[in-house]
Amino acid sequence: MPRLTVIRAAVAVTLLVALALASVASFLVWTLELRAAPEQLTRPNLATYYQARFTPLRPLLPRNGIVGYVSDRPDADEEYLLTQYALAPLLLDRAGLHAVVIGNFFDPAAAPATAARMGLILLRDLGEGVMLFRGPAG
Amino acid sequence: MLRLVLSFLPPLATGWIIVGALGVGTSPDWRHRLLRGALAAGLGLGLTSCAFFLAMVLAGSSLATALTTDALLLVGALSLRRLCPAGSPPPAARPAPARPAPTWLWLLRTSGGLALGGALVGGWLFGGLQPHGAWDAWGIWNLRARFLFRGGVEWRDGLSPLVAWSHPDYPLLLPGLVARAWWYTGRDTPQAPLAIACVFGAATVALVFAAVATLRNEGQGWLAALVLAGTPEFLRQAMNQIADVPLAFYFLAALVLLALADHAAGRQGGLVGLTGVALGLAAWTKNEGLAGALAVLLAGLAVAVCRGGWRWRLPRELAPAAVGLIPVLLVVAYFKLRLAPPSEYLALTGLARLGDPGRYAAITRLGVDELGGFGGWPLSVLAILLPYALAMGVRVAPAARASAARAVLAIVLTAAAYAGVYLVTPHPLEWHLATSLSRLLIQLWPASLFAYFLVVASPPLAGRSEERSAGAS
Repeated sequence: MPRLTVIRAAVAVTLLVALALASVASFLVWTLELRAAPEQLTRPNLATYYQARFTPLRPLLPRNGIVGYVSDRPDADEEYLLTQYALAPLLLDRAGLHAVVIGNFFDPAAAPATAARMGLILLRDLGEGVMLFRGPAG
Repeated sequence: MLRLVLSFLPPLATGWIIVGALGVGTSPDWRHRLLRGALAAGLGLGLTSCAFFLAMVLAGSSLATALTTDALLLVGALSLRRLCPAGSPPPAARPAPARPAPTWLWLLRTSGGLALGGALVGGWLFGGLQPHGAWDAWGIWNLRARFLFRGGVEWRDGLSPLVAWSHPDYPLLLPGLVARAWWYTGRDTPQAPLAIACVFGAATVALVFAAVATLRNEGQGWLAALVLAGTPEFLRQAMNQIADVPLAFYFLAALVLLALADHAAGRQGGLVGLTGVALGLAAWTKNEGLAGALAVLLAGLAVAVCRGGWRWRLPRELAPAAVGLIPVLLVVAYFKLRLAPPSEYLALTGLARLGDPGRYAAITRLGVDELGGFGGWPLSVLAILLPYALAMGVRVAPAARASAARAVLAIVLTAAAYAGVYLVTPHPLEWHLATSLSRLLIQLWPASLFAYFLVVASPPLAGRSEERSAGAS
């Protein structure tokens, strides 16, 4: 085996291994930094937050079926999806009229006006913008 | 926690028995044992998911459903072991060299151990930062799992048009596994999808290592594992609790099993049959898995034709794949045709977009950009691997030529299929590429590394390279 070939291979392998180890180390450091400051996550951990917000509502809801969904920001798609995730296997319908309607309000003070406009009657206010209404189909 | 650990035992045992019965890892060589363990984890979990889905269709989702299907699968695996002669007498394995391992190999082992340990710790810490996973995890996979678990007999609500945004046409391998684990734990703990993600990530790294170590040599295996475990994007996607790394596992497993079949003496049938199972499970994981399965079959066909004698070779080499593939594909077909809504990508209106040259240019431009920064390495990983191959040279043992050609062709065909989907996608092209391309590349990354380290010469640092042509017995 020519000596030059062995040296070239040794350098190549050493560089590859060193870069792989540096890459793992940088990932580890990045993860530790994120743990120290989780707000740096590109998308904050909203799923956990929504779990905590909507868990008190679950015992008040039917086990299965379709319920209505209302918000003071109807264009906030991600918040609607997060609520659906938190309350599955219930299906949340943003469009139809239902006997039970869930409210997810960014500004709880906006809830009475929204409810009046849609003919909803407030049954429970669980705080943090989470509300339960009786809908017009009730 | 104990119940969660227990939930993994039946699939692992089933996989271990089936993979061994069909010819992998029956020799005492530790590399073969590791190969068997990695394949057993992925294939066992996948088959369990399929069986759990069928049982759910018949009897609803419950703990009894999960336990019954696990027991039936285990009985089936034991019956297969009794039926398959390949599993009983371990064929003569090449004895391990008695000489002590050279220093450079110990250095590689140490580096590999450090990298794997760091990747495991980093991956677990990252997973803990987002217990419900990334957007696709809670928006698609874990959401569907919640319908399967919390919905009980009404689990089909998870396929309702009201959750059309969550792609209810996506197959149920991952949601089925998560729901099944939740039945074992008794509640929908976020630790279950996290543990499943961790198992698939670890099994993929173990499979790359064991396959390259078996088909080439241990040093080359460590290098392959180092590069995969050193890819931060792979670690992130693995712990995001999404289906791309499980799909990467099945795609890799199919190519590894076909390569092992190339080297097996007279026991190809079982290995090719397992290839079919892996391809079917790829299709049961994600829609892209169907494209990958077709690509592997086409690549296998092309290589068989090029090797000559295809009239006798094809039935012998590819027919067993159908035996493994068709049962799983029937499950996928039942789900797709009877339960799931049609895929948004199947609309014929998308074909009109094929004539738009701007889309080809955009896909090429963004694809090259993504490849340039792929993987999240400190430097572009392609700028590392290309010079490495030039420095080491290319050396493919005659017995591995078909394996390498098949793997490269399958990867190219799958990438072409992905590009075709981008061409006809109904979504805004740039948004679709920006939100999915890195995940699609991760699906092909472990298989690409397998092909790369099969072809690139291994380190001649001990004075001569220790090439192997062993199968996986």
